[in-house]
Amino acid sequence: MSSAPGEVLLEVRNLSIHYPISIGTVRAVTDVSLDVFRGEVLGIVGESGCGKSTFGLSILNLQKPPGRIMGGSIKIEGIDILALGKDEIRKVRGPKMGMIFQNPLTSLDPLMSIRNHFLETLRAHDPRIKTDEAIRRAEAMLEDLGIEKRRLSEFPHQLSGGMRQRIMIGLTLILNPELLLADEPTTALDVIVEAGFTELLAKLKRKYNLTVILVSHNLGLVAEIADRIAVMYAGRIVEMASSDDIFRDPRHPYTKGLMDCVPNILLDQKDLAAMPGSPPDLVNQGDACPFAPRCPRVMDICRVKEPKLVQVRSVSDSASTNDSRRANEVRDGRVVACWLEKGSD
Amino acid sequence: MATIMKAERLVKDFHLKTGLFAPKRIVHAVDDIDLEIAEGEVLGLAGESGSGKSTTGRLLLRLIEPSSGTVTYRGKLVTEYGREEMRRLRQKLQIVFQDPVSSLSPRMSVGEAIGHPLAVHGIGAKQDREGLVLDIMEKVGLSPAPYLYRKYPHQLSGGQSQRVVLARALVTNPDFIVADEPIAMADVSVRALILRLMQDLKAEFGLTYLFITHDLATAKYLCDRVAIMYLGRIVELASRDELFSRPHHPYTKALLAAVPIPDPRARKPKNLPVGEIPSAIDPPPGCHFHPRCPFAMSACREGRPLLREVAPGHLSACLLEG
Repeated sequence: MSSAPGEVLLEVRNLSIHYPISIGTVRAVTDVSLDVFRGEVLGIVGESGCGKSTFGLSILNLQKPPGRIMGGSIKIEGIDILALGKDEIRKVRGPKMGMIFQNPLTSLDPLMSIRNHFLETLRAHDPRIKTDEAIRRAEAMLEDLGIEKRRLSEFPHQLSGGMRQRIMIGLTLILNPELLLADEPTTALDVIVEAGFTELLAKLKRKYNLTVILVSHNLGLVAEIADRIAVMYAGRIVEMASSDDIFRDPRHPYTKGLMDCVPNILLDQKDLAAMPGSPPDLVNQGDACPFAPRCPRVMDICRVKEPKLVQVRSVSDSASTNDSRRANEVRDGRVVACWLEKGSD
Repeated sequence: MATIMKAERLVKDFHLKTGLFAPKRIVHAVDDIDLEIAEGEVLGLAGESGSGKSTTGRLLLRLIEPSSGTVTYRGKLVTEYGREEMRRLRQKLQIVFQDPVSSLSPRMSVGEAIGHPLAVHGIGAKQDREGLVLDIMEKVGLSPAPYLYRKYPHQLSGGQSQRVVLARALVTNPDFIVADEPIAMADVSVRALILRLMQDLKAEFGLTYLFITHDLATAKYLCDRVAIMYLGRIVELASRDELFSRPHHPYTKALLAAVPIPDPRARKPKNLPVGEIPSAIDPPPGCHFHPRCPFAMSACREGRPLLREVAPGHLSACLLEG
């Protein structure tokens, strides 16, 4: 972590996103608040349909229609994104925050050379940039990505899947964003390419002093690079802590359930735990904890009232003595929304 | 244990359509492989996209015809079977695909879909079939079965759809199942449930699986033996314990190093091979892996390294010692 711990880059408060549909309203994101600290990698995990992608897109105010932000605020370096007009937000997207998606092939124009992808991107944000200068910057970027310069004259179909995804990240980074949102960036990639991409992302993060939000269902991938993890369920954050804490001592039964059903190649697992059931209907939500119907440790109160996020002790609080750990505790601020924790009321 | 399925010198080339004057292009999808699967075992077939693992699975079931080579099921030469013989044999050989949604007809109810193979093979009297279907539905955890029987695929969750596909495969009482990435598209929580279900069904029905996967962590969890494929060839084959504790082939080692570990304390640099899997149209000469291999020697560029025993029951197609 290169910069001072505790400096907030992105601040999200009480964010709710609804999708009106014929039979009611899908509450995709419900009252989400979090801080993203400069220089960190924040992983957002959960099953499909738990709201993690909707939440990610909303950070760039890109939620898909008919999705609407019903309340809350999103601030990057103090600028309220939701208050910006169409032209103003374009000045934030790109230079302040960039995004890479799951499938690079659908994000690249098949009729445009890689060089023109870079030129178009640079010109969109600086119409007066000279072609020489733009190409020089594109070439420098390709070097960072580990791709030969000659590839600039090629077209997307001539590149391998891994190279395309690296080009995507290059097109984002060439505008020097503070924040990179990566939504399932390796899902379309093979395992060796995925590992290479993960290493590249870690390297670029250091070089460009990036802050990264990584949305993924792949706990292995998140464990490889995230500093902190937010676990989402039914559109809410149910647990948030340092990666170490989350993996060493998952507190929310949902987090524990997720961890236990992932095969780990380092272990000799005889039985994978299974988490029956599926995420709840987001249209008809009651007052209960949304995980109660699937929870192995459900209590009476869980079926009546939803627990709030409360602060809990981090594992490293007791174990650590050195100063760097102490500094990290400030940002770790471990929270869990579960009645099993004391003081959830 | 008796051999249930055996492939010898199996080859599959796909000829690509090209222009009138363009040179002929051939994809060497499966390039001369031998494989023996013992009754009751789970054999994993692992590798990256384009390694030929799915083609191998389809060849074993004769869903596609081999360019050359033979497939033997319980000592009978399946590749010589006529149409009618093959149709009858299909009750015993089933396949489960990656995407349960595209494997199910949206116009067929769950009951119709699962019962369809019974009608095709003329198993049981018509009035008894519903009972057989409800029976298998309970066994794969589709309950309450009478309620779900009338549902259509769009009314099911991902996990339920995959259970329907499994039930449909099992209803004819098969003994050999090719499972082609059956959990790759499922949610994390559903994956574990399907894997456990497959283990239970295997025990209950005495099944043998060819489990095709790109995920070595899953292979380690489920399989008894694992074969690693690269560009149409099997490069390593060993029991699970051997393969994961003493991998021999540099490609296997690379695959293992690349597997993400769900434990932040286990982070370490991975020493990945350079580049990506090349096209099977014009594969590199000699050992297909040599351009990416950190240990490549001049001999690796010349001939195809044959599978040899590096430890009892542990085969590797690499010239390296040890």
